[in-house]
Amino acid sequence: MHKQRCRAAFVSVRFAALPSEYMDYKLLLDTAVMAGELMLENGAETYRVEDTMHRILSLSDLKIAEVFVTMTGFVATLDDPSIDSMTVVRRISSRSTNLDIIHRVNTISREFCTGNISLKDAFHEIRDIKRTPSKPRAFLFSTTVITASFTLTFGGGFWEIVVSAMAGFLMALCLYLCRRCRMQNFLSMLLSAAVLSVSASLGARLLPVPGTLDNIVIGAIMPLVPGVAITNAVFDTLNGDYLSGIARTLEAFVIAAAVAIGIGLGLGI
Amino acid sequence: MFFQISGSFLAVVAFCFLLGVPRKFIVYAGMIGALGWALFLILRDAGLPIGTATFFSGCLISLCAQVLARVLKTPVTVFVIPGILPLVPGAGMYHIASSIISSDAAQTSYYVTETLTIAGMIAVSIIVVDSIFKLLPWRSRPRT
Repeated sequence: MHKQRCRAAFVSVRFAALPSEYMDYKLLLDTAVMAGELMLENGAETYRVEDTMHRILSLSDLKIAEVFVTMTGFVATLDDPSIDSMTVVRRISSRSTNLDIIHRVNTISREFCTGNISLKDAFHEIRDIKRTPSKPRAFLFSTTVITASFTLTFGGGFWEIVVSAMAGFLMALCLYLCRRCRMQNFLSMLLSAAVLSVSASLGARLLPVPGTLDNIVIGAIMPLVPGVAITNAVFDTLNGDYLSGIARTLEAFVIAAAVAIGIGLGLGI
Repeated sequence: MFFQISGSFLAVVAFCFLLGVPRKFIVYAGMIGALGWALFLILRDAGLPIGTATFFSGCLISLCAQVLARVLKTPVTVFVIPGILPLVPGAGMYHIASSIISSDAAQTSYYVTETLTIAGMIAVSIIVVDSIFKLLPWRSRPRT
């Protein structure tokens, strides 16, 4: 309410001075915040989020357009002698990986920053992305294919591939169920890795031809490895975002530890 | 070897669905992954240490990803994340776990070192290529 009134007052002042340059700062801030939220939630690197938001906010030509992004949230502020300052804080509580959303937000912000689309269009397009729920496509099936083909990649034979696909399917099922009941990430990784190694070692024993457990487990472990965390850690550190770099490195180690413990438990049983 | 390389292509393509890589880029990502894995196999069979092989194939993957990301105007992670997946030391993690289970301290420390080396080499290869690309004059679009 208060903000709206400020905007109305401010708009009239600014409008009189610069009729053609009028820009809805609140909408601009909202657009930047929504873009940042979407990117951060879907696993973009911290520096990219900061850069994107900063570019959008800089279009306002206000004196102060600052963004501070960490892995778990961000602050964005717009300030100028002519307006009341506007600040938005967002806490990002859930993070996953969806590169498609990052790509789409990136494209929209690029188009917007080069002036190809208007602020309103940019806002609506980003809001559309936010509204369409994105589910991983065919989670169980693709995990099964991943495990099977990674076993092939690491030199497994036919029966090893079959067992690995089976273990991968069970693991994906476990991971899916754990996520459905909103289990902590560490525990769900650990459980799925344990399921994987138990089913892999059972399968390896029942094989008609002698196969090695190594190839099966190594292939089946791949959907759980922290590849995303490693890559993002590198990119964040590279761009001088040491806080996020360290956080993501730790994330990679925690995931690796969970998976290793799970595999160890499964093999021990 | 052919089967291994096609396996890595298939694996990376399937992983792209999990990561939500935009549909039109999935084939490129798969080719980058397969290319990197092919180079890794060649170098490893030529007798290079695993760390070095990882470094060079990581460089190739990162190079292709940077070029494609600039050509197709998309964040570079869209190609780097799926591309390096075959190199990520999943095998090392398994070997660490199994050697801890059999309480073999020497094996454990060997595999821990190897896994950290591979992960570090992946990181270094991405860093090197990215830094070189930042020097290039046609970096007119830093966000790609």
